[in-house]
Amino acid sequence: MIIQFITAVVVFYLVIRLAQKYKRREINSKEAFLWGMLWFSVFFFVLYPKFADSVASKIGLKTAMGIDLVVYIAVTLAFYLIFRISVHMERVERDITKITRHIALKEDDKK
Amino acid sequence: MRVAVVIPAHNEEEKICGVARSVISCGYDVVVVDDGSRDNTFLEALKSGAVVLRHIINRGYGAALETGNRWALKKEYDVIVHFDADEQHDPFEIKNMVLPVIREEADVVIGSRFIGSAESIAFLRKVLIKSAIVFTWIFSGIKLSDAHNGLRAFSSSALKKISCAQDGMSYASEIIDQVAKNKFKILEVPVTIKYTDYSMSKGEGNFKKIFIGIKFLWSKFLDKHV
Repeated sequence: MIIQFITAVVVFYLVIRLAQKYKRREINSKEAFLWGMLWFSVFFFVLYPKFADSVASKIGLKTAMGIDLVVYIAVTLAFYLIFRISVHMERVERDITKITRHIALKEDDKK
Repeated sequence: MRVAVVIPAHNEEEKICGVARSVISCGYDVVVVDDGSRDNTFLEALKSGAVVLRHIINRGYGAALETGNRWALKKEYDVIVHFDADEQHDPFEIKNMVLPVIREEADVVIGSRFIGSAESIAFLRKVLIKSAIVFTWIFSGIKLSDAHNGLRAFSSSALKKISCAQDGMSYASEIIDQVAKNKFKILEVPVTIKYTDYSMSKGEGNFKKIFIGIKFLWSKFLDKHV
């Protein structure tokens, strides 16, 4: 009961923060929707843990509990997000190099 | 035939003037790319009489070479040579790299210390370089006797078709990969590599060389998504 209450409070706070970021246009509607769905899912599974157990059982995780399913999904999602961040960083690094090169060649043109 | 020698340099104030001058004295045009050095590399390179380009921040060996390549292609040089700034290479051997390109015997010429000479090469370093050869053979399909030699020569027509995105030392692997993809004629010529305390202090550590290979593979994978 206590853990559900704490989770509810934390999720509520995160949703408020999400709404503020969306209002300030720091994130777009797609990002807001996806993060919102994530927090809602967390809240839902914490409120109804038996639902997670039945989903886990239906997809073939017979000896696992619902929480195990949540962990598997969370780990997969985390690795996917790391990959997306790596791709983004690689793009940014290449752009920085392009700009640096452009400046170097432009300075030479001025001579 | 106009030949440009590209020398990437990062914190090489001690050697760069002498190295650039030695190449200029052999009759070649030199472009030094100062890759965000924090010492007087830029000023020392200017003293040599070379053209000096400057990266305002450090981007890496590959990025500096690519900047030099772009400059040389813009200035319409026919042959572009890569040369290290740490006195490992012998400027008199540039002629042996350039001639096969001029005679159209090859589009790309790579120096090889294993058909030439590698003075005082440590055993572990030798093992790592040999591993790099196998690595290059597996991933690029080209068998070289020296996969990571910094002394290279390209025809301008070949270099125009090569565009490397690797900023760091894994550029050396990517360039071979690009040569293989474009099916360029590649030739290895014997060169001398001098290992001095100075050049060893400037080079990558042995374990870092392994990470360079991993970084190359990871970047190759990311290329499809960037």
